[in-house]
Amino acid sequence: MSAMLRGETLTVGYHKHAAPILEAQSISLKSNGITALIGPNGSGKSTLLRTLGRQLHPQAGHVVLDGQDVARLPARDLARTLGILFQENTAPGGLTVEALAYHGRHPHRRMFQDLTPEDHAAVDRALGLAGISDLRHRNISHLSGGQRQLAWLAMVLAQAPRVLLLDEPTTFLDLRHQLEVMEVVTRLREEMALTVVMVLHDINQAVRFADEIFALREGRIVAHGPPSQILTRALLRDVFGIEAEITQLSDGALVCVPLRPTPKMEELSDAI
Amino acid sequence: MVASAIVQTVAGSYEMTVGQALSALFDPDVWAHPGVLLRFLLGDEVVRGWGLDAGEPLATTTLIVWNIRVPRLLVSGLVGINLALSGTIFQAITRNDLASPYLLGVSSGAGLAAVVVLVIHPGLGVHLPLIASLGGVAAFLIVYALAWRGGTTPSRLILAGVIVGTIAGSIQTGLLLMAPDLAVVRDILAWITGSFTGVGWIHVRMALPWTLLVVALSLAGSRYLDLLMLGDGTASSLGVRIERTRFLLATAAILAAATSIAVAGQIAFVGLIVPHIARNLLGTAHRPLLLACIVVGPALLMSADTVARLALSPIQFPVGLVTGVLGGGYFLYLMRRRGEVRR
Repeated sequence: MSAMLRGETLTVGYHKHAAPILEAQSISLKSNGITALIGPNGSGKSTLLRTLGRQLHPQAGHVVLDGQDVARLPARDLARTLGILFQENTAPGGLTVEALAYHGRHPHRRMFQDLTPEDHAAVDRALGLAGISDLRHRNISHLSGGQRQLAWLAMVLAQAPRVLLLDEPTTFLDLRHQLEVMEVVTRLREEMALTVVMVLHDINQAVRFADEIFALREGRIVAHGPPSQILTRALLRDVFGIEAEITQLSDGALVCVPLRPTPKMEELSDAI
Repeated sequence: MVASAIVQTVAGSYEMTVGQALSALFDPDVWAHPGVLLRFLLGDEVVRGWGLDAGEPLATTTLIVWNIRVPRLLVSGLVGINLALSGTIFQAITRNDLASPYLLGVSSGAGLAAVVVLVIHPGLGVHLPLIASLGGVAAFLIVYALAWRGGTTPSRLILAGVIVGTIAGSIQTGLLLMAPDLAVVRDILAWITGSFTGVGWIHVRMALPWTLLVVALSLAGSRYLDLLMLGDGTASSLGVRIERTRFLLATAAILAAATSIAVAGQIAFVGLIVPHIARNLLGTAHRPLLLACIVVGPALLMSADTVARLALSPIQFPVGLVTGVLGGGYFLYLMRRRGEVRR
């Protein structure tokens, strides 16, 4: 069963009285689909993702998961349904890939309960899905950045969530590892009926791998829709402030090639 | 641990041979009479009413071994357990390998409380352990309150600990300078350095129940320590209620630190080194780490106390000096060997 996740008129700020980063925004995520949140730095896309994952508490509005306000859900119940992969992670030195993945079983285990066959199966499956079964006994601090990210992804998958939130999962990786992570994510959608929401920095990745894109600017969702509708020169100028060329690849996919920053308004008026 | 236990039993300013000491240790006058054994363990007042056989009057060697050396050994073992567990917990919840049991103000609070009492009202000196522990716990609560801003973070806790520690330390030094009686100052200094001189069964009785509680709490929390090491975000996304968990674990660690301060003053470095040794041996999972602490902590402290007691016999110096020197040396070794100290 795929999960329904939506945010209703969310207003979010880091402190109670600080100016909100996100103001009265509503979002409904495509269940059993991949949604990408894009926008320039400071647009509120990570804030929105963290609010959806209950890492931040909205000043107003609700996050609703399968009809229930997540603010009222017990922490463990939420953790059994919703998993989050953070942008940067630190593992204590000496932790193995497998041991990390077993931590993902925490919300399914009771206080003094030993590991069950179900836990072992979930960890095996998670390592398999992430494509790192052969690394399971390796020390995480000895892995490359990309392998490490897959190890953390395996931990989240061991949680057996139905909603997966990814905060810039590819930002610090080289190209090959970026593609590997994105491939795992698409495979998940097919094999686990997961609802995936991810913040992406790379517009072309969002266009290529997502079913739906939400574009944010200055704390507001300014556009959403399927990639083909979102990727326009007007939107790139409006949201990212860049002039870009959009072309079609031989397989029909759209890509944008950023050319230069759009001149700012004041510069334009100076020119006139 | 066994070796230092034997040395501690046999050697001392009252000369006896190994054979004498062992026969004193296994003196049937003690072991065959549950009344005698229980009187050591539970105290005279408790056991008197039970109508148990008081046994024969004990031989001098037996008395010395059982009244002085065995309790000292037990107390150093208990303190070793407490400091090691406390250090391990603090290093996990602050995600900082250089965290010690005294990080969150407990030692400075205890020290200040002790000095205030001894300087201003020396008559209360008998209650020093209790007062110091309370002072330590109070300082910990102040640190937590200072660090709280809709939640805590490891770095804010450490900062608040440093703030409270610095202020309390300054006041403490100021009070010491104003102390009218130099003997009092010496007592306080010895206490601050940490020492097992003069401990007896009463200290065993004081420390044992708390130690058991702390061992139980920390073992129950071992999986949560592992999860907190992954970072607050990840841990909470796995269903851990961060603030509650961190506070409970910190409280267990503070109880441990306060217990050891109460019976032995402030012994440096044990709570810092033992977790390192255990991690080098066993890796990062906290259940085996905590269990290792229960063995390594006492072993280290018993050995250090052996040195403190016998190196310049008959002069005993505070065990805290030995652990300080040992600890510094150990860290130097670590640093030289492979830059092992994380972050």
